[in-house]
Amino acid sequence: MRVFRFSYGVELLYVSGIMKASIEYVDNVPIINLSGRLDTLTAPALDAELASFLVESRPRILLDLADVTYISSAGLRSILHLVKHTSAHGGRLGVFAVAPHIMELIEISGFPSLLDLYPDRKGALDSMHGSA
Amino acid sequence: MQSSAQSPIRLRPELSKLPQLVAYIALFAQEHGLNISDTYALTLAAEELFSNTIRHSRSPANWVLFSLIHRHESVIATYTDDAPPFDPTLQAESDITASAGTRPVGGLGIHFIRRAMRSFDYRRLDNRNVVTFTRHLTG
Repeated sequence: MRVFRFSYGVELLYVSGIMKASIEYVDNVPIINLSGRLDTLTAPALDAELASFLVESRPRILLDLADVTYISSAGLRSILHLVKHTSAHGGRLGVFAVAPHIMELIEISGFPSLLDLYPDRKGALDSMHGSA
Repeated sequence: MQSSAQSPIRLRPELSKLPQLVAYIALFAQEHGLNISDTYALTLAAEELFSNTIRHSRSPANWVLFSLIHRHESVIATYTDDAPPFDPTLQAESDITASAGTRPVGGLGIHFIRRAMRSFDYRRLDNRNVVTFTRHLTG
């Protein structure tokens, strides 16, 4: 596992060959960008990488799923960890750009009541700024 | 009755074999013109059962056999392993209405199979676990 950190506020975490994750900050709002497959193989590695990120209190986190092609129940558990973290710190997780086939899983699992869904990055950031 | 099957895939129950299972389903989906939603649902269900075999068997399974049959507007999946008896259809229903603080992190995969599949059945046959699930195709 290779970890790249950039001094201008963007951290790149290469979790595996079939999933990539990075964290960027827009107006102090952290956005976790994922791409590829979030499954039984990759989710534990993502959880491990995010552990240090979640040491700090982060009531506001956005999750960008635009480039995620697949999420299994293991991936849902990773998202649930983020839900629980933001909730425990008085906030809520925002998720945007979910592919329609993944939305079926999100809805069947009852996640829409736990997090805020946005169609795109702009809508998510506008909401964050509105609630700041 | 028209049906079209693909030769079963036999795997060692190891996480490193998961990409082979995924590739098997992807090939079937391509050959049978399945849309992304159906392909996704079948893959997720198979991955859930495969990870259960690996993680929850009281003694290790030696092999997993998985096959798909396309019959009319459905795909019938059969998942077999030689692990000790384990019936995933008996797993307690996941509480998807719980708040964030109390929401259990497990059980979502089986919950998805129950909701996304037309049928989800288990048999113990010849010292093997045999799970079948049927996806009614959406496209």
